[in-house]
Amino acid sequence: MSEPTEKRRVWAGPGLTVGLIVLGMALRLAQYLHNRALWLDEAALAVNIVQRGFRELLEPMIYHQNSPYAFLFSVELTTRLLGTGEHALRLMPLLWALASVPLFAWMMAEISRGEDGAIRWNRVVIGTAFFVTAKHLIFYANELRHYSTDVALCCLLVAMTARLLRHAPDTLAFRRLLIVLGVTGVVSVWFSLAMFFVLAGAGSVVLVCALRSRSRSAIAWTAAAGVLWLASFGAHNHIHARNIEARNLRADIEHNLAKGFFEVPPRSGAEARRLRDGVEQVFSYPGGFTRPGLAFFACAAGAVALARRRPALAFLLALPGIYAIFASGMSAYPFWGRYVLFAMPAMAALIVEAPAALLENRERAVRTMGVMLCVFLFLQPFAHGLRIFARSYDFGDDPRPLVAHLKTHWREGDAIYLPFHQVPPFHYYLPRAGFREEQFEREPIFTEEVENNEAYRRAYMMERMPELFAEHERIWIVFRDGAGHLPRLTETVGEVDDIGQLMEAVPGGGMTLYRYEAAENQGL
Amino acid sequence: MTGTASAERTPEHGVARVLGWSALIGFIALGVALRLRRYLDFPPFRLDEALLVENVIRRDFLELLQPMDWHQNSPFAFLYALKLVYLALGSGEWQFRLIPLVSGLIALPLFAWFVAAMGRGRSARHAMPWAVLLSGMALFAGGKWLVYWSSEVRHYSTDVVITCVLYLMALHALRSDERSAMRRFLPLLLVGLMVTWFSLSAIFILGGIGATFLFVFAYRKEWRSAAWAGGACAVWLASFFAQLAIHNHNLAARDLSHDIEATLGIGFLPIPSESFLNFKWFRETFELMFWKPGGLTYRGLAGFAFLAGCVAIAARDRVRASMLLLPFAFGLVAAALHRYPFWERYLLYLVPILFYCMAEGVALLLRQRDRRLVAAGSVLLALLLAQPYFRAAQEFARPYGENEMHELVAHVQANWQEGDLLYLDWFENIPFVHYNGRYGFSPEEYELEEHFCEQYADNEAFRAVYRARRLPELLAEHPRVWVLHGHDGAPVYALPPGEDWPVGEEVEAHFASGVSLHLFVPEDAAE
Repeated sequence: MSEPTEKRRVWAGPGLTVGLIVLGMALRLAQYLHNRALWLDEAALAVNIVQRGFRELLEPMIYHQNSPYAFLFSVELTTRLLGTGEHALRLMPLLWALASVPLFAWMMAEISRGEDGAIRWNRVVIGTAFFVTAKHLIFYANELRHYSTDVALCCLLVAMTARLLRHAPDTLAFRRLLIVLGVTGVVSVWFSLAMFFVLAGAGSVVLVCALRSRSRSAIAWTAAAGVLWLASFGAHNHIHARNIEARNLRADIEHNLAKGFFEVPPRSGAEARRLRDGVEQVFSYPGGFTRPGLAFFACAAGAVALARRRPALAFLLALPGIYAIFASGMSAYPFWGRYVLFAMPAMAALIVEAPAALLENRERAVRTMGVMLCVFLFLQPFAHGLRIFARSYDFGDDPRPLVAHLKTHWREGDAIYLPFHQVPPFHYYLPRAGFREEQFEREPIFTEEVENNEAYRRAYMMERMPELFAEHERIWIVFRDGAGHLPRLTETVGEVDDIGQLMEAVPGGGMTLYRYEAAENQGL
Repeated sequence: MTGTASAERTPEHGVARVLGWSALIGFIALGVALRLRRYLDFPPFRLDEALLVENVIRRDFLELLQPMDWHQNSPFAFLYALKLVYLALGSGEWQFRLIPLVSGLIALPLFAWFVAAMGRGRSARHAMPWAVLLSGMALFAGGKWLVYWSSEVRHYSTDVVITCVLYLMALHALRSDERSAMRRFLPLLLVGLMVTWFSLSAIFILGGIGATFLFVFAYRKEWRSAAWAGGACAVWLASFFAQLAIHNHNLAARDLSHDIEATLGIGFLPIPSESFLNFKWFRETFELMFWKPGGLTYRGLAGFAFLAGCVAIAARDRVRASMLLLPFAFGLVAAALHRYPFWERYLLYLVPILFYCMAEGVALLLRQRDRRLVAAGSVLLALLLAQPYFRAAQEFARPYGENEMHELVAHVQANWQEGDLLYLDWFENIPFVHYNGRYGFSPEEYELEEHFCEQYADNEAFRAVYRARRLPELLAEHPRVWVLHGHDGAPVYALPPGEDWPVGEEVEAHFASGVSLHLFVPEDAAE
């Protein structure tokens, strides 16, 4: 091979990886710059952060919110420095997401190393290409939630552990890396609850390696790291559990997250099917794969392939997911959707092993099969990821135009009634527009203990309306377009419906703002 | 040297060979058991079956060539075979389902033979491709829709047999070192001529074989063979178009084009469309093919195995690959011309090709020296088979009919009161007529819902509204109305949006597989 060709070959892998890292960062940054409005979940957390100080963030939050405390503190710090706008609130998730891109490439490089220590760049490139364009990773990069933090920390911890495992347990390098891993682990559980599973997986693998080497010092150091991680997680969890208990949220959590809790081990055919569907579902969301069955196959085949090459790494990648399934069996952590986003780096690394093993084969038909597997798995997620570059990845709900309308058409003595689903977003945006809390009435949260929550809320609202009209001349109400479970409403201005006489209907941002006045027969 | 374990390494003797044959016989036995289990349960005819059965019963041989009642079409030789069975054995479920069953059973060894012949390579002396054969048989024996159509009064299981037979004969003609071209090609020509009358889809398989033969022999400059292939193609086309002319005549006589577009439009290639190459249709249709008629839950995985198999076959023998894949192309052309839908049961004839190609894809991994790939092949096969076999076991334990009406009608008879009326919706209309000789209702005791053909955009919804109008009229004349309602996705009745009138009070409801029974009384009577 001529020298320039050889040079090109050597630089192709790293060059492509760097290009993909830049692309991944650009995709995440583009979403951030679209500056979509905060939606329900985000706004609920934002209100807590904006209204509280550092110390109060450790106490039970309103709107049933929970989040890792270090993450909350970091966002609080950002808002103190940069203000309480959407950009400031989403800065930390964005920074973690940006960091996760090179961290994932590093993790892939560590995982791909063979016995000779050389990086298999084909794995790094395929994995990174998927990771940078994965739609749910891009989405959570621009979401006031800690899920992008989960991903970045998972990449970091797995990469560090993989690097650690390259050293013999009785060496100084092993101990040094273990100390760094130990400290990172202690800190990480305050940023991400899911890191417990990653650390449990890493700890299990490192401990087995230490036990097999019979190095007493390595066993002791590993055990010490494990104890520290447990203590740190226990401290965080203590505060967390206390806050949940204080709000009596256990039943509510179990109801809302029931789809993420499984019977482990399953005791019936139906439960086994449910667990299988739940595991498959993870490949679709948050995995982003269009064909979850194929992704499941690639993951299983990749795990087997990696286990034959480097068994410790296969366990390092697979154990966090397995532990999370067991936690879901104890109703301690939902194995569903965004809660499993932390497992995406491991999932991607395992999946990549399957096409890589095919592509390394000498037979042309098998290599073609590898190319097809890549196309089948990654083409659609890749195209989807690129497609959202140009447009915002939002839900269509934007309270800002309606808040602006309220601001300009507000009269003294008016009141705003916010049905439950509109409460957090408007609670965040109305005060920013200068409204006082007493000017808007927030529908209470009737938690899921009420059997038919929607119907119950509707009945509550209909009882509340005459009382509001007794005190106010004009009532503003916001409904999301296409929302079900509403009272009978008119679309025609001037007509009377279940609430009152409709005087104005202003559509905007996926919602409609209705202005009512008391009907003449109101209350009769 | 490739990473493949050579064919010579395949254990052809001793224990492995015995195990291979045992597994093959085991899969055939399993396939037989699954098909017989459903057949011997004798579920009542569902609507589509009853429509065909009643046509066969009521018409003589000549009339079966003419436009049939209730929009029915079927290959004429198949209809004649049904008529012969009816005349010889009677009109029960097992008699009418005998030909589909026999086809389903014969298809099992034929498919094994087809896979073995295809997988052996160019010479019959090559080692038996056990990995391909057993993977393919595992898929075929438990194939959900193969089992299902083996006991339905339709010609689809016959299509499957014909596909296997045609490929076996084509392979024989390709391999044959017979000097006389007539002996080499005549059997295939004659069988091809005949099967076009048993199966409409056979023309696509014959097209694939004929086009491949023409090209291969012309390429090899074997002009005599090429002339035979061309002649065979001409004869097959003539035979097919003769049948098609009768079909077209019958369709035109009943002005069915709108009806066909409404019911089968989903299977027609969207040309012209917004974008000339409608990739979404292709992708979805490609993947759907593995669920219906493939019966495989993981469509993407199955599609991957299929394409991998195509690559493996093409790398080994392009002639075989051409014969196997051209029928898909011809099928798509027919779908583009709106002549034959590329959809569901109409594609059952392609299932032997689908499963063979998938088996090649799995075997490509299983025969590697790299144990990682062998493990990947095992995982792939396990995932492909797990759900179909789980379902097959469930259905073996508890076979289901799609129209279990007998018990419900017995309930009506047991609780019949003077003045009652039994109303049969369209889905139960003809099945009831077929069985009424057994039930013994007099004409004034029941009413049959009209056949509102597919001219209504939403036929089910239209029927539901029709029943909402008809029920009050019937309740004005009868104290009680029993409604036997087939599960077509529509409610027993539905009021149009914004309208409201008293329909009647439902005082009883009973449910069976595919059908339900509802008793209505006037609302004032209920009070």
